[in-house]
Amino acid sequence: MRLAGRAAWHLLAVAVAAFLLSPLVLSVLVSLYPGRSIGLPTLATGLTPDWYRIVLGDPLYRQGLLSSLAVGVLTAAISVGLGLPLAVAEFRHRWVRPVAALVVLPALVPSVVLGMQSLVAFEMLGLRGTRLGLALAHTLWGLPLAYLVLRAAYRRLDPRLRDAARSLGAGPWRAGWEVTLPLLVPSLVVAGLLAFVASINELVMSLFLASGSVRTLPTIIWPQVRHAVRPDVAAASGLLLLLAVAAAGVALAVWRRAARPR
Amino acid sequence: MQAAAELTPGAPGAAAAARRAVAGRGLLLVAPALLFVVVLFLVPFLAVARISVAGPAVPGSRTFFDLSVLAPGNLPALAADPLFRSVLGVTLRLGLVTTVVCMAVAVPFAAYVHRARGWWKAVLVAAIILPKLVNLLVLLYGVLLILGNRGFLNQGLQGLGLVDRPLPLFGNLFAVVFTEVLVVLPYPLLVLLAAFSAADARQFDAARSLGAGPVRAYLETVIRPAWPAAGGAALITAVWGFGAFVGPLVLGNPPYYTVAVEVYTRALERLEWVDAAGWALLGVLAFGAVVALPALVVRRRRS
Repeated sequence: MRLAGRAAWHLLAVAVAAFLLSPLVLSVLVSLYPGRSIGLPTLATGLTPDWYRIVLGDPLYRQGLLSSLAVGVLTAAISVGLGLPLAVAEFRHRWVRPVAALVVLPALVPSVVLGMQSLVAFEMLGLRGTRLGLALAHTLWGLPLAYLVLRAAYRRLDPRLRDAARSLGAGPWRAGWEVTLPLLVPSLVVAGLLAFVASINELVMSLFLASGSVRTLPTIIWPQVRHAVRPDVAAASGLLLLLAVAAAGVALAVWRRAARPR
Repeated sequence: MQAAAELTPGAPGAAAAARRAVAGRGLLLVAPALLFVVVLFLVPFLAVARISVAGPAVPGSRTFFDLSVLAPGNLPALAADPLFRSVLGVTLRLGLVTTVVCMAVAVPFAAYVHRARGWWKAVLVAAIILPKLVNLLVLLYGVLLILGNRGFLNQGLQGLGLVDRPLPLFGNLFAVVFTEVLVVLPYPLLVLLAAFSAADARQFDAARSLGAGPVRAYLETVIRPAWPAAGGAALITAVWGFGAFVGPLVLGNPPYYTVAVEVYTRALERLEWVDAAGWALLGVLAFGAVVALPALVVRRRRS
């Protein structure tokens, strides 16, 4: 009885892990299938990178990939640039807390609503269909992520280091620049990469905001997922996955390095 | 200057000036983020609210709405619309089912991951985080491959001779919930895992040495203290379940279209912006009320 219970417990965990991973693994496998339609590669068929070559050679996909990268980098930069001062201020001043809550609020609003209202705003501001516009909309999600990471990191800093710098005569800005900022570099990288990953995977806001000349990769994949199912879609999705995993790998490496005692 | 003010507490004017200077510096740090959220979130949201009570597009103009008209009657009319009510009902039910399924899976699974050790734990954590790094479309594509009429599940069942026609796994509530759980599950898992990890292992040992069995000791020292976090996890799950867009649109047929899908088709396919804005506004308000109510009840009971 006890043994059966334990086995069921392990089985449940394996089932959940398989459930979470199976769509991902399947679509990666399909992107490597050598046939012309959808199928799973076997030992007999082998694997092929052909679909990736086709996607990378296709001007539409390539333009989408470039737009996604540019928008992702911009989103990361804006999110960190706005999030860091906010995290510092929130730690020092009580009155900042409601402002911080307001900044996190967009993360709780459905992205369809965010996309729609951003379209209205950018029409007025003249940012419609620009990469900057897309990045600003993605920052509605990127900023809460970056802010929460940086807030946690700033609270863990040893305040005595900054106090030491101040007591040695450094002004608040200089102490921040020469002591606090270097200590926060790993967290800044992680916060930026999280915002970057959120941006390159974002679909719904991009559907509202994309234009003929500026389309991110997910908006190019989207109509094909909806109507036809071809392996090149799997390959294009695989590229996004590769980017996201690479970004997460860098984040993890930076984090580990910072966590290691020196 | 600030240091001088701190050294002479007897001079109230100087102290107040210093306090103002400190607050002023805070304002400088906060201003960029505040400006961002006001200009790109609050004002646009109010603009959508205004559009929802605007007049229909004037023929021949370039805009999709007429702001010179103020028609507050739009909103009550929409709230009484049977289509809106039924879609809102579907959306809330979908959010509820997704939340219940997610929490039912997340609490035991997070406990399992928390107890796991070594490489097995690393694999499990990767299984939680990887789907979140992945584009929704990759997931959706995988789900289509599994659940489609010629998908792997049906092929397998037919190959084994268990069914002779493909099962309709697609375009129904099961498919939509399957997708939404897949998309949303990592969030409550991460929140719960963080909460469980905050538990003090010595309390567990103490409970054991006082005679509690392993299950009871775990429930009392790890799961129970993490209860508020479970509330937060459920809230996050509900928010995402409510905003469900891609899953219902691709995997559910019109009976499972959510408010988000209706807003999207009205705004981008039919170009009925006044209607779309009304749907968005009332949908968000209704969801806010549904989420805020239990939170208020809990808070009142606590105080």
